[in-house]
Amino acid sequence: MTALALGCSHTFGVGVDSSECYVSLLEKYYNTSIINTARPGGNAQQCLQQLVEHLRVSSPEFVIAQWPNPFRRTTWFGNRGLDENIHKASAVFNSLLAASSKNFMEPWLQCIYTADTLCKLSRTKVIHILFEDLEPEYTELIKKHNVVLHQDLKLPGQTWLFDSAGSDNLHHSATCHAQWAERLTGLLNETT
Amino acid sequence: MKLHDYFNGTWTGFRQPELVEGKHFVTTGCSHTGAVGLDISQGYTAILAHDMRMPGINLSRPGGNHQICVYNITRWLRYNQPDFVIAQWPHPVRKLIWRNGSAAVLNVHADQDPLFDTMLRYGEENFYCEWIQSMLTITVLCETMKIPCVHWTLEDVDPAYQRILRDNNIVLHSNNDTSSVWNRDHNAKDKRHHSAACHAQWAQKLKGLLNEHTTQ
Repeated sequence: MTALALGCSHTFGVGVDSSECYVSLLEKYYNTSIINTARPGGNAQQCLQQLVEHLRVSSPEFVIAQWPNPFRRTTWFGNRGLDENIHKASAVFNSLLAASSKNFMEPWLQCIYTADTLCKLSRTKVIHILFEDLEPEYTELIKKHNVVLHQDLKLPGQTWLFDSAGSDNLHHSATCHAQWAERLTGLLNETT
Repeated sequence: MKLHDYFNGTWTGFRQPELVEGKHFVTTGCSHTGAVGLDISQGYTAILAHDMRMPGINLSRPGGNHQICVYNITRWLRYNQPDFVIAQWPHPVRKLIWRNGSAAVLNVHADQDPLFDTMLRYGEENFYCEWIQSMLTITVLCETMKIPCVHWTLEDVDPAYQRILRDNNIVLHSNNDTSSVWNRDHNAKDKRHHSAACHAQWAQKLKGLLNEHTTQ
């Protein structure tokens, strides 16, 4: 049996040794192999794409879906796709943002909803996690769609530990990864 | 929660007088599936529903794009098990853009829109990649539920994209195959959409494709 991890640099383990990444810690805990499809700088659309492609050919034991910052997208310049974010943005990205934040939020929500539905229908356990803060209106919308997204509620047991003590001083330390793995273990065991 | 309540009042509205539970099928698409220019009873969804003796739930959205198709089908499949799905894919070069809190689907006639224009200028991949991804998503959803799904489009599809679809084992029935076209005219009441005769031909062709699908 295998499991699947979706996400961005946090799940990829940027800034820590691969053995310290929370995905590796979960692998050890569950004694299972986890396919880590995370892509540094990746976006929600790519996470959904990974899930779709993997579900088509396999039946993972569970899926950890760490949803990247909503304000990311791929813009195509001919056949070259560039992963963009607010620090690395083309005219298209900036125009979409200027028009409305919903140009990012709505597709992001749709990705989460579609991923959740795919997992539900294929009877695959999924834990959705978000390291970013989310505006209450979107938290409500996600709840209304019967999707459970584990955010940083800054409450005991409902927080994701953060620092910037990864080796790049941008990402998070091995201690954070260990706490994420512990919280995820609890969440996975709850849903069993 | 009643299905009526669940679907009413969203921006992804659709042309469907009444929703039902039990044995049924669903269609999705744009104005063509919405039977714009015709009485709804002349649309191919209604013809199929009549011929196959089961309700046809029309989740199409006139002017809609692939994102709306995915959203509506996903929402439907999450709570229902239709007998089959017919996905008519709208023109790929359409984009759902939000401005001032409301959404509009822009299309190739929106060339006055600088954002849409820039996106198109950067590359048609900005439209086609997501369009194909949407088709793949619906394919996998239907495969997961073991529901036959027929993908079709009235648009011509560039061979490069057809190849990508084939590589992903997706069969998209377009008009590229000259031996098996989707009839088109401009004889609906609005002189832009297609006549009842076209819808009748689409229904016949779709029935054939469904039979092929279920006997494979």
